[in-house]
Amino acid sequence: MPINKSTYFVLILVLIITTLSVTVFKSEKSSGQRPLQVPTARSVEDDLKRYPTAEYDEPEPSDTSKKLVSKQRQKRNNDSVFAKPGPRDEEVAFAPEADFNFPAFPLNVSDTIVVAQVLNGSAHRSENKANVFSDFEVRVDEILKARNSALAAGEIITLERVGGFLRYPSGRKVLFRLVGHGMPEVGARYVFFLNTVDQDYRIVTGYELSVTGVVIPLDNSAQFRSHQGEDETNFLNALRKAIKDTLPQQE
Amino acid sequence: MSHKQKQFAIQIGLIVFGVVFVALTRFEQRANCQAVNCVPPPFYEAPPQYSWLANTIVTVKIDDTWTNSTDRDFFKEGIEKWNAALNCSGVRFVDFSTQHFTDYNAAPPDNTMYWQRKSPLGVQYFVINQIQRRLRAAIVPIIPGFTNDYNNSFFVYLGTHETGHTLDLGDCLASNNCQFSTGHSIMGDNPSLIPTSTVGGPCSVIMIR
Repeated sequence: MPINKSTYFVLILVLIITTLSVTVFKSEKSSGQRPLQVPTARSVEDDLKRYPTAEYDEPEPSDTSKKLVSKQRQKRNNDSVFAKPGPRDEEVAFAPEADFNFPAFPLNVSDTIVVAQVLNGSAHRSENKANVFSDFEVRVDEILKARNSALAAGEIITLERVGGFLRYPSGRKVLFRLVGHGMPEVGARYVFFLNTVDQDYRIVTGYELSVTGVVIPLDNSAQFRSHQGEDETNFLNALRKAIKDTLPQQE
Repeated sequence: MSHKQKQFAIQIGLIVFGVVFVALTRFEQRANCQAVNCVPPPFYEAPPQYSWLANTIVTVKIDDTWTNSTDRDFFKEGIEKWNAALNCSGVRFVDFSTQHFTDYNAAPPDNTMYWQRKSPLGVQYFVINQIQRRLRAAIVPIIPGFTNDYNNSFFVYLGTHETGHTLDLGDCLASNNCQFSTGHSIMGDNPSLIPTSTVGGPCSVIMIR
């Protein structure tokens, strides 16, 4: 039986629509089911590269003052949330309950907010060897809020965060981390929300001010993603305004 | 039947086929979430990280320092709710026997979840592959001072809530824009708003596929 041109046309049209239905439209639909899933800016591999490595038998600094500071940092990190890894484990991670229970700009839980560039990073074991933590030397470019009035632009301060790789004498490396907590990248600029601890600072959260001029959250939680990809200038203006709004109004 | 009528019938047949095909391929069962306007709890990390591999049978061991078997049974009741959930993961939690822990920092065996009486509250993950981040084992520490408050429902809440974290579900908080206040999700942080559903709340189940 000969087939009309119009029947061919209908056949081709039906084929196109059915094909699109199981390809393009299907994937749009799948992504629409999870409204909170904004793609993160970095891959797991990229995130892992930012974690410094602690040596199992880390030598003590030879300089006496550095040795004292190092001991103090190791001692205050003795409270560990990590269990020992099993023989095949590459990572031991802890998800604290109700972590990041604060807004995208955690002004009330940060006593210091700075724009700073990360100069270097290193990881260490705690004094009791139960914990792994990382510290980062950063150069302060701008102070947005400070508990310590002596803090000045250009100063180099040390930031601290739980987590890091631990290299065992066998060469095996295990990552210890808090779920959702990222590590800053050496060389990059960030807005850091901090809390003062002794002469150092603990990172509450942060935002990378990337070379492309957009903002990338340091940590992985929905409220931070609302600023992902935001223009750096707009982001900083919004932050400065938010900080100003929280200050007591002068009569 | 004339040639023209045959062609017309074929065209109608093709159109009907196309409509039925599209309708069937675009239909999807939305668990129990069809009836509610969900803002589901977030994943901890982009899926499928920090969750058991599909169809894993997870052995649950509960700390024997909860000397009251009723307390342990409440945890079990909460954990087992995930077995009843139509969550497509195929993960099942079994055993629930007691264990005496001499070293609370020791890693559990494969496919095992320890419930331990220690601080701080959260979930400890043991991961073999750093990239995939699927769970080999987990420890759920429960603060020793906790008692089964909220009309004996707190331990059931903890059982379901903390186990939800081993399926990569994050906390459902106002700060992370989750619809926490209505009791839609067991991942909310208010134990007094426990969902009446047996599957941890419809807004939790939708996330686990």
